[in-house]
Amino acid sequence: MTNVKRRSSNAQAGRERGRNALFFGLIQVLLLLGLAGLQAGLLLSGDSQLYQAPRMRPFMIFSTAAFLLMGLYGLRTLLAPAAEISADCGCGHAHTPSFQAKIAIVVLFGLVLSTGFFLPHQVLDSRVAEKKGIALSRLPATGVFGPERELRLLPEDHLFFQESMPWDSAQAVDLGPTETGLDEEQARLREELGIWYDRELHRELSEDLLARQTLRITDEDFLDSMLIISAYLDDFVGRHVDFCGFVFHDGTMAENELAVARIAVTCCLADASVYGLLVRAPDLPLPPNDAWVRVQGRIQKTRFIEEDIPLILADSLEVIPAPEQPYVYPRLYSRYVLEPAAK
Amino acid sequence: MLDALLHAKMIFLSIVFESFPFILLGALFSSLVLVLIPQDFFRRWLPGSPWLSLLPAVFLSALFPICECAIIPVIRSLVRKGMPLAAGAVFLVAAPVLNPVVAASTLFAFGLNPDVLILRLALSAVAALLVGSVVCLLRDKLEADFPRELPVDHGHAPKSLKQAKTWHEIARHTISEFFTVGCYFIFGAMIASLFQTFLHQAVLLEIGSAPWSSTVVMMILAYLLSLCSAADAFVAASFGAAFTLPSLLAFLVFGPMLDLKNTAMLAGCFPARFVAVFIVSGSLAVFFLVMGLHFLGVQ
Repeated sequence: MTNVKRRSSNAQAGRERGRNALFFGLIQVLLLLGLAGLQAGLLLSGDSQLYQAPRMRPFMIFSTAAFLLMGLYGLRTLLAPAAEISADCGCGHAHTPSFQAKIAIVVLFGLVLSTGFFLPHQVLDSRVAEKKGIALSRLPATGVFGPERELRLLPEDHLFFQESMPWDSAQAVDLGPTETGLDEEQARLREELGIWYDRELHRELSEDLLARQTLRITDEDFLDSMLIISAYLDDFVGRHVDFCGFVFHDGTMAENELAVARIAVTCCLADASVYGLLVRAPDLPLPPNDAWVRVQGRIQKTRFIEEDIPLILADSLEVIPAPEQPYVYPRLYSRYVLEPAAK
Repeated sequence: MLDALLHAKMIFLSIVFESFPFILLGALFSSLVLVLIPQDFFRRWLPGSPWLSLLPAVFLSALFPICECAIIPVIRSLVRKGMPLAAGAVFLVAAPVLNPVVAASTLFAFGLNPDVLILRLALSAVAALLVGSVVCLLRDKLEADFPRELPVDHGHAPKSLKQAKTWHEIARHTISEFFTVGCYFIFGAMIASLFQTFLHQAVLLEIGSAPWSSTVVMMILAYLLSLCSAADAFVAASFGAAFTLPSLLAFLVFGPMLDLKNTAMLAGCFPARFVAVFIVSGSLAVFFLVMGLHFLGVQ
């Protein structure tokens, strides 16, 4: 009698467990399909570019497809719990997480879904420059080993680096051309740009820019143009330039100066860094931080801790609406990823 | 304030979306390991002493093209299958750095200058051996913590890929692994995004530029920023001017091995004592190796 009772209560507990597993299975399916839906929405609307560099898009497509498949698979196991695919594989230990773990899963994945679906997108702004600093001329490079490849310390490109760490000019050694067939500036560009350097592209762009009296810099060319202008600064002094970016002004800049900057993203927003050109606008009202502006002016150079950097003397500062594509990407990737899609 | 929170949310989701594909791959590999590797695989192929498994583990980690988010569940599965914990620790340090994608991005980010890459790979390999050795020394205590019921009495015998049942098992394990690991990961990404939004990097940089302080600063920064090992070289390159090469290497070697998001995942996947030993020995190993480079005059 007691035996029978125990067996029936066991069966009841088993059913209870089964119901719990079914309920949690259903939640997992909803979370997976939710993630697939969220990511698919971002991919289809193009808003995924607010979160990632375009080169990560194939990976996001992969995970979206995987979530969809996993969700559908989970749905199938819920609807048709055939022996071979049922939750209990007969191996005698729990495959389902503990109660606390289930709560954590629901809360944390729920956080991703709710912030993703219900909060508006926001483009990263001058806050990044405030926290991480801004590069006003070019990427620094380091080197060791061997007497022929001298260590070269560039002056600090980040504004706050200058305040906290004085730069020792005695340590700076100029590098000559390291590769035959490249002129000095191109060799310097190559040294400095790393992945940003593409021989054909930068040559073309350099020649193109050098041939013009007025440089109109597009979004795609922002980083490269900025770096080429820094490299050939003496040649560019006095020419007209026309470009767009957002305003960043901080305490280290003079009253009538501001940086007009773009945010560069390599993979995801965690690695976002800010690049900009210093603009001096003597007689013009300065727009507030984060306003998008179109600058027209002349290129000058200014001394900035032992280094010549470009300074744009603005003739006009025009406030414009924020662009569709707020970030800029290293060219080497954008060349392969963006351009075929644009055609 | 509201703006700052939205900013944090953008970075949070960005890290999450970026890492999901790799966590999925990690969950899949780890399920394949659990389901397909025979129970006596490691007992048969590994040398008797765990000390002898350290060096092969370094070479094997160069063969695994796997990054930091994906590696943790895979290593847990391998250890469950009987791989020595010390070899697992070696993988956790070395595998995220010793792989082709990271090598390429490091090379590109530092202007095709191979020095940074060579030093990065060498330091990671040595740090991995050091951490592995510490785990090896303490193996009696650490191995006891680790539940290894699987290789002994679990019914997951080697399966044939021709059976539908095997595939169902892999699918089920992948889903549950994704949720377990993903849960810790999301928590880590949340904390990292808050630091990304609210931490003034200048505050950290003001701590100092002496060799030891800049090394510590770079390690803390690598830990808090929680970058993916394929992208961190670009960020390190942008610090270039302000830091000497050894300090940048502290960033490049320490970040992939330990940061906010993978500490959360480690804590979820491994016993607390192992995680503590791993964090302490890993931090000390990187710190003293980098100080050694400073001492040798590498700049």
